[in-house]
Amino acid sequence: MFRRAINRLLGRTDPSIDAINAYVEGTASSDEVEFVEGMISENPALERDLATQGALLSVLNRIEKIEAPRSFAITPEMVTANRASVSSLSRLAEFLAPQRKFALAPAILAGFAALTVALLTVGNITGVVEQSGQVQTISSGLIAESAAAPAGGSETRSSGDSSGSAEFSTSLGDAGPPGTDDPGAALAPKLDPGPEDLAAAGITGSDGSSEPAETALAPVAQATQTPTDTTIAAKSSDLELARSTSGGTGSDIENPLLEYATSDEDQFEILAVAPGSVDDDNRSTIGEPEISFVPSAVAGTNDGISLPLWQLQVAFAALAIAAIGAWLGLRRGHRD
Amino acid sequence: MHLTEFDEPRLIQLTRDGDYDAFNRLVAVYQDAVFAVVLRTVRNRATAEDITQDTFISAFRKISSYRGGIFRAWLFRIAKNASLDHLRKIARRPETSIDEDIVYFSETVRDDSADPLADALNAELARLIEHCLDGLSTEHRFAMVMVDVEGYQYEEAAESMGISIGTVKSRLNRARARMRDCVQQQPELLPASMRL
Repeated sequence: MFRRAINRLLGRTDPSIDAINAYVEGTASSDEVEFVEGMISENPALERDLATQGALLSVLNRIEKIEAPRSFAITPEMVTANRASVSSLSRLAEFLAPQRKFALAPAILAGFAALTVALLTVGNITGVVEQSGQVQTISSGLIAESAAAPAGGSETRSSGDSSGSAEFSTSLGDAGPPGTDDPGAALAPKLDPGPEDLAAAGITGSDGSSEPAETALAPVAQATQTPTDTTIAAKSSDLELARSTSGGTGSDIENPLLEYATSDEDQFEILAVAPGSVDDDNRSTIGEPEISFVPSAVAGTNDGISLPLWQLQVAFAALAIAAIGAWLGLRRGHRD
Repeated sequence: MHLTEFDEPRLIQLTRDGDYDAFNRLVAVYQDAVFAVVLRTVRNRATAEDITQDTFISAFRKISSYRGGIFRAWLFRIAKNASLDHLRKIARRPETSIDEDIVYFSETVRDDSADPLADALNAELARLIEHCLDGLSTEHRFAMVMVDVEGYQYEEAAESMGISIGTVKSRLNRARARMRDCVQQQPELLPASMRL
């Protein structure tokens, strides 16, 4: 079965068919005769079948030949009348008639479009693809908090210096400061978080103070930073908040609903490491703890493929319906 | 322009230029072959005439799409598509009685003997063969008509049907096996060599 399928795919004939045809027609080579005789030795009934086929072929060859009953010469009037009777629809229907190579083209197109809609839907449900062009709300995330000890090796807890601490615009569904028109600006994290801000972000030490340990915020999505204003865009709704407390005490980290955005799509990395300074790499430092944003790729997480999802779904659904309609219409037109 | 010899490429070129006379010389050469294949496929004389006429008109109109190869096979291909379209239309319209349309395209199987009894048996055998041919699928029937009845080569049959030579062979192999099974249902009509 498999061999036959391969042969058909390659346009090859099964050797046994070649040999049998040649044997019946009396044109078999010695190899083919030997091959067929081998088959006959395995299946004696085959000999009588082949003899019958040979006799049938001789009868078919003796059937009277047919002659045309009249002349089929054409005239310009015939061609003109034929041209007028063939509409463009019937020409297309003729082209797509069932025995033509393109007969199934509309049906295949419809199937492809329907499959695409289904895949987009499944992809959306599973998160492989997502709707593009929307500001994401970070409902949960990864904030990798590294409680690595400072250079001295001892764990340092600090209430933070308000003058140099990173300030995050963190909110539960709050788009940003009131009166801000620019969503990017509205959602931009400030680089001066105070202890109260860290606390608001749910990053608190066991004693309720802001977390002194090094904290890494790793957005799942690819996030961006505008070099000039350090506004940040999160492409994903998910951030994971994680905490690494190497040698330090754990912090009480709630899953904050962080919301921030930017107009730029460059990757960002913001490391808040020392109080009161922003270095050349746009790294704001707030001293200990060190808080860093890590792009999703660095964090080892992936976001879905951003696509104009619903537009594609509608377009492909319309294409499927149109192709099915065309196919049915052409078949009807061809039938008539 | 008057061509004394049958120069097919030249006639085709003239046809491309719109020369009806040149094309009608091609028609005169190939009309028997086209009509025979069409009649053996659709099995209705009037329909076969219509399809044959339409085949030549379509060929004239589409002559620019002829890219070389066996011209007769190109004509057969047009005729085959028209014939199969017709058969499909009939199949979709059960109100049309196919039985009424059936014509027996061949009354006899040629026999050199002068025996009247043999002639009668050959006529019956021809009818049986036609009946069995009618039981084949249109594609198998067309392959058998082209190769076994009309005697065309595999290459020409393949080009006429728009399929590979291997596919022609496998179709022919199946068609012969089915024909064998069919004709053996009336063994009294068969020559001794065909009886089980």
